[in-house]
Amino acid sequence: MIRFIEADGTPHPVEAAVGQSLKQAALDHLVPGIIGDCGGCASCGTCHAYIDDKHLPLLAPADENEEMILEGIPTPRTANSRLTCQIPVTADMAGMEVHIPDTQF
Amino acid sequence: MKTVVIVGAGQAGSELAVALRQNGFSDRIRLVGAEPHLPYQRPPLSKAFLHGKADQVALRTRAPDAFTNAGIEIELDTAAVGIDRRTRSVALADGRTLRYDKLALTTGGSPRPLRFGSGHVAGRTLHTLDDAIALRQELQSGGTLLIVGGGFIGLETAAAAADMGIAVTLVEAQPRVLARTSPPAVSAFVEREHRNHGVDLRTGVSVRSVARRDGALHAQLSDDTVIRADLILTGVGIAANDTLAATAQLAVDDGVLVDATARTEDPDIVAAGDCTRQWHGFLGRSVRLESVQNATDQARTAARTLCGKPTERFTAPWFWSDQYDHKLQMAGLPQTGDTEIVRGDPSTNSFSVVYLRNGIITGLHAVNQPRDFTAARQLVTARAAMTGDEAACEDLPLSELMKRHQPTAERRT
Repeated sequence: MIRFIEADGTPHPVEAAVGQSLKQAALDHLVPGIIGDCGGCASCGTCHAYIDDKHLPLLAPADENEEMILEGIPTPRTANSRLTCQIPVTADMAGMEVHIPDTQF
Repeated sequence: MKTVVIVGAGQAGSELAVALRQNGFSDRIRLVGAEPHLPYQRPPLSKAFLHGKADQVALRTRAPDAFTNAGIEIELDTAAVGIDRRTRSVALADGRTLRYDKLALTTGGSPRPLRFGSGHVAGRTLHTLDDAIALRQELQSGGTLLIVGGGFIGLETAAAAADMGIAVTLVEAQPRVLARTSPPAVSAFVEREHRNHGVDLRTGVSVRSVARRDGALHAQLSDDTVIRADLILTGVGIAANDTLAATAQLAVDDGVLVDATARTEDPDIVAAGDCTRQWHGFLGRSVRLESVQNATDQARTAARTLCGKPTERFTAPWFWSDQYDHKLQMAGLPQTGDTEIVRGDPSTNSFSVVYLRNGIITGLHAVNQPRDFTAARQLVTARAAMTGDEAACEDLPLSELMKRHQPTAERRT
């Protein structure tokens, strides 16, 4: 179970399938605020979200392209900022909180 | 119980249905699509899918369960053939009619057909999943490919085919590829990369006629050369599917006319995506935009309108293309007369072109510069002021300018 949390605090607990991207898990459960217009190839930056501190170290770091996309996102970029399309769901993400920014573009 | 019928199960139709639920619409949603497939993403068809890097499951906009769980009724293989606005019903090809309280048209576009001379040989097109499946199978069996049209579909297909080891010839009638959409520096880069990958790229030349003989196609070009190919693909743009709207006496002009809230002239009918010509709130003019970003964004706008909370659009359009391992990204919609400023060295694989009008950034085309692209999207939306020197200065990150120009344009809610 992964908890997506909208900017206004609305939680969306989601049973995500291992292997799918965090972005697709959000889309498949109609979580508002994750858009992913480019389909998940890290071209558009509209699936940005903040990963909780506890689970962040579990993720492979962002590659150079993702880093560059994150530089231009409209909401504040923090050390927890990631593109959810670049994060495959793994079993040890159970309980992870993903905070969604108030806008994607 | 009220019923919303959505005609067209592409990305706009899919997003509109979902956005209705996200906006609290709890009554009946019926999504009808002419194709046999659940809503899928079109951009990867000429990129990762053709290349074999993405499968059909990866193309789906949402998992099948997502629609079921949201109570969205989908009917595939179901073409709509008429709209009766008086009785508020949609006629289907199978003879049924669907009653609606509100109607959404997300009928998309169709590739412009291109016939060559009197030979009656039509090129294939790449627009649907079935087109892509068929093309991929043919490419996997080898042969030679002639692509007519140096726009994004033609070039992305050329890149995928060349990567698969296919001998590709691409002809473009204009003096350069991407002439309609991109600055000369980007066209030159793209042409160079295709030639580096073995594509026989010819500009300023068109196909005069095509004949089929000896088991192959022979295309005679306007410069009298003849290209032999096993397959011809044409990519010369799409036309809006606005006939359904036109026959229902809705205003159309190369696209269903909608306002900035995606409403047609009928208060019970909205339209979104490639089938529309919209009054664009940000651009301040009427445009037809062919992009997935517009399709999904306008679909969300249309859903809000149907839910009684219309909002206008204030974002800059954007678009991208993947060719080989290069990423082309565009923000804004520059117009003729805007000043083009090259940022970085076009002889390398990484540069941008900034468009300025009266000292305001109107657009940016990035080649392997996602950093410039995402920053430009914000700057264009904010109508940020910028000097030519700032635009050209590679050492000054555009994101720095972003800090100086906090967005002033009204944000959507």
